[in-house]
Amino acid sequence: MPDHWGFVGAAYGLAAIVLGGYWRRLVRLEREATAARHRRPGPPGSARPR
Amino acid sequence: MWFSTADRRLTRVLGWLAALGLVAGLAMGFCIAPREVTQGNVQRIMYLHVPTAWVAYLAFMIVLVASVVYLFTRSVAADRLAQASAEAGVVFTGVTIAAGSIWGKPTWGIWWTWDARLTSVAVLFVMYLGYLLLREMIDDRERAARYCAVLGIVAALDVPLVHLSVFWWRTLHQPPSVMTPGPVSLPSAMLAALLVNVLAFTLLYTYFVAKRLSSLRREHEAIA
Repeated sequence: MPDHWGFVGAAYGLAAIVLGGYWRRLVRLEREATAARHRRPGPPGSARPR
Repeated sequence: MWFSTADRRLTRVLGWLAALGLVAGLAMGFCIAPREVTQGNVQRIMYLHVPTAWVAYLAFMIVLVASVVYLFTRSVAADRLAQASAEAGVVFTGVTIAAGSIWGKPTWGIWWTWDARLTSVAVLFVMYLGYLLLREMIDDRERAARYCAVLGIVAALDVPLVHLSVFWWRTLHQPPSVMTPGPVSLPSAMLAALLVNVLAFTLLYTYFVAKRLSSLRREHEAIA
């Protein structure tokens, strides 16, 4: 049976794109969540007087 | 603060371990494992297809356990774990289906057939996509968590059906070579390549879940 290297490359390439894409999404979500947490205002009266 | 730093460091270590595991898995699958006699080199897709399928099973079993824990305890951490694991499970199931389909074309002559194994996996994939959609659709966090816990449990019941479908029905899909009641029929080099890849993808899944848990925790802190 022929080796069909093209199919092997397609399977591994597609997996790399999907898993890499999901990893990038996780990094972006983490960055956005961190930024949102830092933007959160403190409890009332917690602001320092100037 | 200390917990958060240690947590981040552990996640980073997991990421590097997963990356090393994947490199080792590729080396094992392409350089150490021999060419399969009847299928040729296209069989090397199995070192991707089988480990991602195993990780998808694992992910949905964790959704099941976390969902049961959530329903009993209303623990937010259990709900977050179920969500993170379901997301990763959908990603890995998608890769499993795509890799299997790409392998099926040169081997079976078709991209897809509605046999018991393929159909039950497609149903599993669609059910967990529905799980993720349901979570996005409901604004009330507590209600979304409760509904998703029920759906997560019901959908996980499909996992044993997927695994046993090749024994219960006549399918084009072959029975498992490793997770089988009989002796393992794989040559040792192929088995080693498969196990290294299973370990690597399990590490990758753990890394993905840890990273998603971290962002979910921060989102929660930002809202609270």
